[in-house]
Amino acid sequence: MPLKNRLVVVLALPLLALLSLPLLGLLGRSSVSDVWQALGSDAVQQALGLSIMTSAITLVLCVVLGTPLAIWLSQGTHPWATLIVDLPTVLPPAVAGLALLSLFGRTGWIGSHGLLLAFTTTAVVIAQLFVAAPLYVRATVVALNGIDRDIGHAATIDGADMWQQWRYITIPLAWPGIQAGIALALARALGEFGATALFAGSLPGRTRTLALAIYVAAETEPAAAIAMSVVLLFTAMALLFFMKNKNDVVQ
Amino acid sequence: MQRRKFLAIIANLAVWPAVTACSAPTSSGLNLTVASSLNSVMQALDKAYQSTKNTPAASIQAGGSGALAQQIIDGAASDVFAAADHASMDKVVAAKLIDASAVKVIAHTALVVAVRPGANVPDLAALATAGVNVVMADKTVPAGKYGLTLLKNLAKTYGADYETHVTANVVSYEANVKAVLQKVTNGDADAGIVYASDVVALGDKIQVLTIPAESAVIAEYVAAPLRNAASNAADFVDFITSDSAKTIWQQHGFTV
Repeated sequence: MPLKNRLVVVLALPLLALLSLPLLGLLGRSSVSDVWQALGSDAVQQALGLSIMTSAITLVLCVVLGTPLAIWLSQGTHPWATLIVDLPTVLPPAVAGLALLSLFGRTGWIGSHGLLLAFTTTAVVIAQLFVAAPLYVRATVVALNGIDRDIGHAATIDGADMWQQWRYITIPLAWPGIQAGIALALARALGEFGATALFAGSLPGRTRTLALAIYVAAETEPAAAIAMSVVLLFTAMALLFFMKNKNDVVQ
Repeated sequence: MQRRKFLAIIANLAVWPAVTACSAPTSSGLNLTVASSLNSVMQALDKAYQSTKNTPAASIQAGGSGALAQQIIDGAASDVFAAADHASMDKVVAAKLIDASAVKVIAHTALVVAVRPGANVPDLAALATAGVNVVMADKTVPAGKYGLTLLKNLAKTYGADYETHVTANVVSYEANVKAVLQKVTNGDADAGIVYASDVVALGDKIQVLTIPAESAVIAEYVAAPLRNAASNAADFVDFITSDSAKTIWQQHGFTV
């Protein structure tokens, strides 16, 4: 290996170590039997079930509401709308929670008119949508912008109507990127914690998702908390792996 | 590209306070690891200690007692540990990081019910009324354990099904007592079970229902210097249990 390449590897290693070693530590402090036992407990099953159910709903909403937004953003320059879509990704989770409360809380704009969502499963979905949808929208915008517009024009000349253009050209070409967005958004929704804790509360079966159950268990049952973390870690890894494969197809 | 640059700046700004907080000097003063309900009283006690002993300011790490105990066992730097229950302290003693003989009872505080102004909760009986939103701490933390005891005690006054009715009204079991209070002060919950010391500073932002003596649940706080602590750690624990510290505890809603 040339010296220059070796230097790059040496410089790259510290951050890679920082990113990987804590997660390896998590695995090291757990065991297959711990994880198995955690998966067998009612509290964990309830939290995992709630996480999967809410994330699935969030994902459907991401696609249904996020796709039109992504199409609009890809069709021109909308600096303000783009900034708004980017913001939730860089905001601390607690800020997201407080922001949602200022809208949906009892004293919030909408809450004060009688629509109270705090402490409901709907609040969990809204919190997840707030942090996860931007990831889906951004990935989809990038995917749509990556399509060569000439292909669309050529199809129009050959007599394709708008629906056919979408069905046979745009969606198939953007699909790997869209799928990557779906996987990212789903992983983010599964891991959502801060906004949910502030906005939705923590009631087993209704608002206590896996991420919140981990936080509560960390106080007194660290072994269970670690086992649940491992479950979440592997779910996220599977999703990211799926996403990477899709990206490889693009390339 | 412009937009990326802008986002990078925003991201840097968001990280900056965290970085400076981490690098704040910790070597000179004591490291106090305290239950979250002790946060403000410990700041006041440390201030008084500084002025009498002419010592540098302590750095205070506050959180749920159980989580703090775990952090200390995991190697977090600490000179004094102050917990909201004996169980958390016992964990650190069992890990041989604190001498059992060094553990002192430092203060007490009673459980109370914090009520959102405007909520239809005029008395303790109303907690069992259907439709009232009640928030408690989770049973895995001291405030939650005490809260369940409180409901059992109150059932003797308000009838056997009181406990069932109140727990049916619980909309959230929070990971710490400050989160319970937050849900009440921001108006989303009607009532929450918290410590008397938590509500002292809030004035008329909330209403407080005190518990009659026959049902009262009193939390006992304990503190001890760590075995390998700075030399004045034991002195600090002596100071906070001394007569001169008494007024400060009382001002913050504790009894000693």
